[in-house]
Amino acid sequence: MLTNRERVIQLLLTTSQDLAPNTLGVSAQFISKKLAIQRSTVSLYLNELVRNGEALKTSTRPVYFIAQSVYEANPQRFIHLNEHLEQQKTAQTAKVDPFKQLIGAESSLKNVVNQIKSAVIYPPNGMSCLLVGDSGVGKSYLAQLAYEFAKREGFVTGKFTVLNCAEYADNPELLSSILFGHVKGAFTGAEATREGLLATAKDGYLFLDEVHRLAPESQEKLFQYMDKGTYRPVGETKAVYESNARLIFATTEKQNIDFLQTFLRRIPMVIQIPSFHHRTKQEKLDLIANLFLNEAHVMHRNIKISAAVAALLVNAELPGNVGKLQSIVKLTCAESLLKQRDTTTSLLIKVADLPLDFMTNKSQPSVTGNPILINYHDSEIKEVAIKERTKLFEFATEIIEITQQVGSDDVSRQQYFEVTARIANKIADFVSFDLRRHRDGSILEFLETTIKGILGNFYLDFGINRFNSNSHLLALIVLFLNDFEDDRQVADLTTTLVQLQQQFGRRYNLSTQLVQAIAVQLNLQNPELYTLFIFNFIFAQQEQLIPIKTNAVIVTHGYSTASSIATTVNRLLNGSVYEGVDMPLDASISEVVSELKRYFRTINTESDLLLLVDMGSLTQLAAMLEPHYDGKIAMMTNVSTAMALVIGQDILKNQLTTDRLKKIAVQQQPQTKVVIPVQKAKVILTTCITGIGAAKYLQRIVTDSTNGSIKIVTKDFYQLKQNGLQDPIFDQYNVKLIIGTDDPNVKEIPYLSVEELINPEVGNRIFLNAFPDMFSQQQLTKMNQAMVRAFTLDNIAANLAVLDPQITVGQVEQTVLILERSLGRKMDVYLRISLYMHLCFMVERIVQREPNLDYHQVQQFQKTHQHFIQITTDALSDIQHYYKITIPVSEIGFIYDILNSRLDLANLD
Amino acid sequence: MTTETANVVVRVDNRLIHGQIAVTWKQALEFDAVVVPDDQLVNDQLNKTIMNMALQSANLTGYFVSVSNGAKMIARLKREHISLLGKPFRIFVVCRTPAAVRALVEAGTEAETVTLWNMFKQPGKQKIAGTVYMDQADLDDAAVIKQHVPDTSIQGSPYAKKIEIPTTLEE
Repeated sequence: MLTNRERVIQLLLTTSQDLAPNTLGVSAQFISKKLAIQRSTVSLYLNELVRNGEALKTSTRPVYFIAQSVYEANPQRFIHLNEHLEQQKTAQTAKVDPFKQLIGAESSLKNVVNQIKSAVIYPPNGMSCLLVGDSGVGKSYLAQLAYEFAKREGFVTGKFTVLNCAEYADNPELLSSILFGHVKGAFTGAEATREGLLATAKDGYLFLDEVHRLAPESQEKLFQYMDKGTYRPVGETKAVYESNARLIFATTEKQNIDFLQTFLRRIPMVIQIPSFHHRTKQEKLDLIANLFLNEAHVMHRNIKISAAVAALLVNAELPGNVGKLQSIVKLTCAESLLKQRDTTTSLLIKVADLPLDFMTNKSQPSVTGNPILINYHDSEIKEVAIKERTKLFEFATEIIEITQQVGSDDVSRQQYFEVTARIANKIADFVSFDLRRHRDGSILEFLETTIKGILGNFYLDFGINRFNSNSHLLALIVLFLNDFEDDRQVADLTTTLVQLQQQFGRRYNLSTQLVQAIAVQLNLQNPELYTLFIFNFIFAQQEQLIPIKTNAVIVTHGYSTASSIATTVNRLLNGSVYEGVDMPLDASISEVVSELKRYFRTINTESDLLLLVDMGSLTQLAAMLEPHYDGKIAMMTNVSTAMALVIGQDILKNQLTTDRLKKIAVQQQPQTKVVIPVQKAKVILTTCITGIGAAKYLQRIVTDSTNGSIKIVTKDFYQLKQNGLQDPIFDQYNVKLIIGTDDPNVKEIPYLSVEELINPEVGNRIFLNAFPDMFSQQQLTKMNQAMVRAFTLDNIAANLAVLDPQITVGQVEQTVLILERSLGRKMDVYLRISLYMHLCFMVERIVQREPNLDYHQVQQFQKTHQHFIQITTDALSDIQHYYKITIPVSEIGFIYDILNSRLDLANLD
Repeated sequence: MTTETANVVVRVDNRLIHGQIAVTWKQALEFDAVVVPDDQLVNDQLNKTIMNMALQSANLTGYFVSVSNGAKMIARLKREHISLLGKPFRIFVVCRTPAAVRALVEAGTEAETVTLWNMFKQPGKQKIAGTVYMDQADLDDAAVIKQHVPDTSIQGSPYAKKIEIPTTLEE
């Protein structure tokens, strides 16, 4: 029992054999009926056979099938079928244009493709053409495509033959022989007659690459061939050979005048191929993506190209063009593959993978790109779209949609105006507020100037006289387009523009004029898109619906101050009322006047003029303006957005009068409200656990040294430690510093321990940080001195029986200072305090005639430390004199011991 | 007298640690540690710092504790350093007042000697000798101390002569 499939095959085979010559084959219906199998099932099997090459099918209705084996056994038998198959083939060729697969065929290579095509179809035998372009731009590829195109169009049937003239440039004879062939004995070693490439390429194309390397004699021969279709092989003297091979030449030479001039004269068509750098961004992206796709196929891995890599490659100036790009892509993939061996993941192409020689002297591109995803399995390339680009085309679609709805009646036009204005506002808001600008401002300013210049010519025609404020917005819109447009097809764009041109001719023409001017400065991919957006903008600005009788101008100093007030108010009023005139900061009155004069030329100077200015003398301005303006001039100073808005409302209703203006001036008295921050006093917080010591002196000393501007507040240590910054004390005071015996660990507020406080090396720094403007180094030194003294006093005062502590401490301080100098040693603060106290008590006991004479080995000390004794006695001389006492050597011995343990006095004597 | 009692020497000085104590007494007595039981000083970081500097320069370690913890600290030190280096670990104890010393000895501190100096003139206090001014309470404290430590006297410096402490003030 045969399966259905086998039955279908068998029936097709037998029926094919019995076919009459004038039939096309067997239909599926016939088999279906005959075998009683569902027709769809039969079609399925038959189509499978076609795919496997076991059957042929026609593209007729209904479709006919014939077994391949039967047809091939005797093709001539099926005359009718043959004819049909032939037709089918040409139809297919006609359908698939080989140039379709060329990236850029629709944009930057459009001209090139058209030229090549016309060279191909030029009767009777095409036209020879010369492709000129840098190396790597794809000249060979284009020649190949030209050949394929010619073949599919049925112009040629022969082969595509390539000769690179550079290969034989060292041997012109050999090259000549290869090209034209030679006869037997033409030169040594020419043992047989050999036909040249011109003969080989008969009925086809001969592509001569690097043709400038061809020797002049050969060139001459080629020209002769181009003229007459005849040539002589090398060594041939009599016979003339004929060929119909078509010629395509290619050269990189643009500089070689000699070569070009001869060639240009003789070659009818020269085609310039743009270099990679001049291709559009989208083309570059496509090229890059396709090169990566090729690699993806080779590696059997999907690829993700990082945005940075895409941007770097797109912005690269590649001397080797696409050829170079190809090798970069290959190297990059190889590098990346080495790092990412896991074949199950996509290969991520990062900047670090790019070849080093490519990366040198590359700065990061200013234009950002999108990541590109490449799926090798489906040969799919996907650029991850960015928000701004999506937005741009959404806007475009929106404009197109509403434009297509507009009719010619007035009502509809009014509606159209309103909708247009709404979209224009939306776009203006988007570019002003939502868009992150990353181009530098100079482009913007430059563009603004250009737009201003053009708009300036159209004041009267369209009432587009708010040129300053508008040109800024328009420049922003243009840059937005330039940043994010790509060369995708926007549906109905062209037809919409045609419609706009018909309905709003003058404004449309202004738009195209602006686009042309912009195109000089920026590289536009899709100028029509610009026209659409600019038209939308201009159309939305027209405010002729209510003619305004007052020319209102805001004049201020500073970049875009006036234009931004004007724009803001115009937007708020939903109409164009104000013109903004921005003056440089240092502009004089006469400069203001000359700027205004320029503006006057564009408006009706008989209507009222309102000038809102920021500052300056109105009298002088009025005097200087008066001769240049015919109508009434009203002026007001201290322009503000609020003022402009109130006045603008009147202007729109044509209700602005002198009285009204005066009233507004009164109303516009600036209001004042001074917000006084709750000034929390800057304080130092002390948290002495014991309550004695530091807090006391600190309070007194800091108050003395800062004239009371820093307050000292005491706070319970344990509360502070527990509450931290939440403690109410921080609401009440601006606490700059906490001083205490133990750190309460309050975050953000510096802590200074008492012993650090008294040590200027630590304390001064913290004080300076906490109160940067309050202390000088000198003040701090003084404060520290006072602190040390106070501390010393506090320690001794209660214990001195006969001396006045204040006086004695002062004297002792002096003594220590002298001692420091004489010894050439600086004492640290702690040693000084020790010494102060020791000396005070020493003086007291000597005054009380109870000196400590118990220093051991006094004689020994006196002998060995004479120098120290001398110094110390000198330092103490004021005290000795004041109290009429003599300091015994024994006491000096004790002083020596105290100092020696801390200062190392070993080499003193 | 046990060996342990030989380890502790007590000094009364209103000024507690100062240069002279650190240097002179260290030279004379060669003690290893200084204990200062004083309720006021224990929280006075600044004075502790100054005193510590003086002690460090004499290569000494100071222990600042409250009076009530004084006896414990002394006992602990004795325990930890027992017969270290083969010679007794000597502790120099400085108190601000005789009352503090009394608290120590009553808490069980056994001292070799107790000397008084620098007890400054205050209202109600009479000069006894040198810089030692005392009132009856001080004398009473001294008397109690003397019961525990027989070698209790007034002494200016390690090499000065010791002066007997009277039991009552002169009228």
